[in-house]
Amino acid sequence: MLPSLHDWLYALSQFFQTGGWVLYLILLVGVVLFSLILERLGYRFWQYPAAKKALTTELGRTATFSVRRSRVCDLDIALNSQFAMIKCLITLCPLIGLLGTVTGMIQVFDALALYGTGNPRMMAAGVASATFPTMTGMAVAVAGLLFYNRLFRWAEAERSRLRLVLQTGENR
Amino acid sequence: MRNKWLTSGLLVLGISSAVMADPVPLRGLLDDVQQIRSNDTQINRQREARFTAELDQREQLLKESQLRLQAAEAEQTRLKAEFDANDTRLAGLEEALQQRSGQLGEVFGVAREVAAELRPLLQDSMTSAEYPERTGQLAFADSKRVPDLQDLQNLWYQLQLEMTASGEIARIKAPVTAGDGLSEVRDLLRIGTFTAATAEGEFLSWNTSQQLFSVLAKQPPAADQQAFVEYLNGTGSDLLIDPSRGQLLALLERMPGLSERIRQGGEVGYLILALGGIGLLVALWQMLMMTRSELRVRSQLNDPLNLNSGNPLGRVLLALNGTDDSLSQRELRVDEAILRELPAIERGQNIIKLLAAVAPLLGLLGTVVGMIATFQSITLFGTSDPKLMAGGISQALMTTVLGLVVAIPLLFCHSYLSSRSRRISQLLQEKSLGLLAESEIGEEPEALSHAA
Repeated sequence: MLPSLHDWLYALSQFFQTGGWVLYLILLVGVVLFSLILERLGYRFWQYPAAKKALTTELGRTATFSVRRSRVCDLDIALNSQFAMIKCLITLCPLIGLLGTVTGMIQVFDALALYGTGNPRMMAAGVASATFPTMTGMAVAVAGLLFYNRLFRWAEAERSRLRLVLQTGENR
Repeated sequence: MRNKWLTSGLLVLGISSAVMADPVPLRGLLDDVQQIRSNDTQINRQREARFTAELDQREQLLKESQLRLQAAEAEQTRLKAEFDANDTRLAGLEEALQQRSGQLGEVFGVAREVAAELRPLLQDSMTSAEYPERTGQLAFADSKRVPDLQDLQNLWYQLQLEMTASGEIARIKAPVTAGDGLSEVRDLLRIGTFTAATAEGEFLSWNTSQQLFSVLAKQPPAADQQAFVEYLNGTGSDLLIDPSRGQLLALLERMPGLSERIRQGGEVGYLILALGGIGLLVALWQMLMMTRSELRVRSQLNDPLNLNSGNPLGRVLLALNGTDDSLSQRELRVDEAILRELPAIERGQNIIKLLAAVAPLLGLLGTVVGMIATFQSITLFGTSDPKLMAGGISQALMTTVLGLVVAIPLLFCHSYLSSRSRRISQLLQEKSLGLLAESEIGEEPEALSHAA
């Protein structure tokens, strides 16, 4: 039997409460990252084919090389946009996770400074909030990286195909 | 000299001749002596009589004292006998008491024990604000006397009262000590024995030694206070409760705030923050400049015939004006003009990248410095006090946090700026060539295609 939505939400809120404020930062970065990836996916499957078709028909009409080059450049820029930002966000995720780990460690040592080593419960809260952000950051980064790699390789291939179109004129 | 001695000798002779000359005065002297002698005898006789009388008196006193001593001794033996009799009677009575009370002795012991345990419990509990007199009713725990029925009933009643009070949410009026030391009677909401707060949402702690509520110096987040007020007004249903009876809320005071944390980072921390501030300012400035130039390039693209020197694309195209070179030379000119534009577009990116790389390194430096301080304190004081070491370590880690906090936004800014500048330079390069070709379309299209 699947747990209900409420249970899921409760578990999620518990997770966020244990991990501390850094998890919200990772959540924000993750939301931005995946909305960019979704935008790229949407571009790949809906906008790009139409744009490419329009380009090839237009290139057939205007034969000037520089005009063709300019048109291809527009598409190239559109094809290549967001990838730098996606990559940057992917590298930021583990970094933010590291930040969460260090703040969690500070919590542990604060508890140590106040109560000595006699109270393992106080330390456990800090240890939990030290390990969760790193894990979450890694998970988000790996998931983002999977999409990024596929999309980036496709974009590279499309760019080389565009260059081929540019070189050989309107054929294809 | 000889004359003096002579006259004195003559004087002595004269006197002795005068005594010898009168016999009657001598007789008188004898009478006197006789009379005196008889007087003395009389006086002595009187003294003797007195002494004998006194002796009789003393002997009489001695006899009386001996009689009293005998009487006292008799009394003593009588009393001793009475004491012994009482003693045995008392022992008999105690035995009787023990026999008659039987198991009740155990009951009293348990009652005393429970009362002694209950008293500190009640003092710790915030319900004491409503029932301040109740610890006095448990005073029998310390006394030797047998607890009477009233005491036993009180004990039972207090236990029951505390149990009931710890399970209820009650509006009460009690004196509250504010942060300025003044205390006044205020309206409170008490939730069991766990949490209490005023009607304004100020959370309170229970001061055990003074048996008073006092306002917590550091309050929980404002949202929790607001929730409390809403609950009190009947509009909200969520409430912050401290299950540890105020200990967790008291811990809030020990949590260092943001400024305290930053101060823990020390000089290295301030250095990192300053570098981060510089980096962010540069990034913001560069973003503004880039947005401006990109907007101008776009407006130039929409109006290709009217070249304007206020934007990079216009400047690149203006470099071609008035020249009559071949196409390959024109392309070279365009490349040159673009190269001239690039530094303005990419300005600041290197410093942002540098700062983003330096900040975590500085954080590491601060951490290592803090660790050195920690180990120095270990060499001085040994490892006996973990609190001493832990304080140093948490300070050391703070600089790492600051380094990361500075590096993350700077990295983000750098990536954003570089991707945007790359897009602008690509636009410049391709669009300028495209515009160039479009403006001269039909002139030498074949040559253009060869040039590429």
